Amino acid sequence: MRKLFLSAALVTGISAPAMAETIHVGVNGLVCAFCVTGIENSLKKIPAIESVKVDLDNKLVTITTKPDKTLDDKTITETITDAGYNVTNIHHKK
Amino acid sequence: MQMNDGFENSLMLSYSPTAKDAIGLRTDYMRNDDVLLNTLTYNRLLKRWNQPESQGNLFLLTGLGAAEGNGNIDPAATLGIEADWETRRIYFSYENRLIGSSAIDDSFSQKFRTGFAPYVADYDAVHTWLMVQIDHRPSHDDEITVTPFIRLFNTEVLGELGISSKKDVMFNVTFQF
Repeated sequence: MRKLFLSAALVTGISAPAMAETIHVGVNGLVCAFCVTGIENSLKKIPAIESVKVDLDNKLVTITTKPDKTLDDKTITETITDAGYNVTNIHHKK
Repeated sequence: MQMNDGFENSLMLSYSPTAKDAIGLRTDYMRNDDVLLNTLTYNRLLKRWNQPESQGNLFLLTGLGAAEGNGNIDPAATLGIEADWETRRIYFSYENRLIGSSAIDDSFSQKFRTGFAPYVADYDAVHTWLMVQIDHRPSHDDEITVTPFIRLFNTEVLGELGISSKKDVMFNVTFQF
């Protein structure tokens, strides 16, 4: 019985950690840092999102989800469009 | 937002329920007329042009309220248009404002702004712009005022400081939450 518990503990211990998803979103209109905060604030209201990073140089918004959470393209596009910007492309990376 | 220049002192509080709409309260003390103008404002983004390297906007600016001066309180309405276009390096804007009130002679004003960023800053850094504002107030003897100013901002606070051709200090600050 003790071996069984030990085996179960080992299996649990070595199971794959919960994966977060990184999503790169190309956005048009990213020129003014003072104005772009609207995108960051809107995205951060979505419960599945852990962090948001804006890169003005590459016109990218990088979203990291919480572990085991995903985000569909429709939600991302709607949120960024409602914030007043245009999404050009979306790439998901686990 | 607080704005102070040679013509007026203004305080604005606004809330944007959507990216296209902003409602707010605005108080202007108009020095030339010695009038306090209090308005409930509604501003609407009519059109936005998002491009990879630039953004342009067209806004409708409206207000309804009262003008208080010389012991009288008169109804007042304001109407204006603002247009801007900017990249991370250059900026242009035009804004006008028409005030309908018997208490205010200084009823029409317009301003043009342009500027450039001497360096391109990252999103989280402090951004610096060197700018100039040209005010045109047809009801004034000296209709044109030129104000060079510096604009500094990060993601939360935007400040502007300048001195006009009439030696008046311009100081504007905007906080966003």
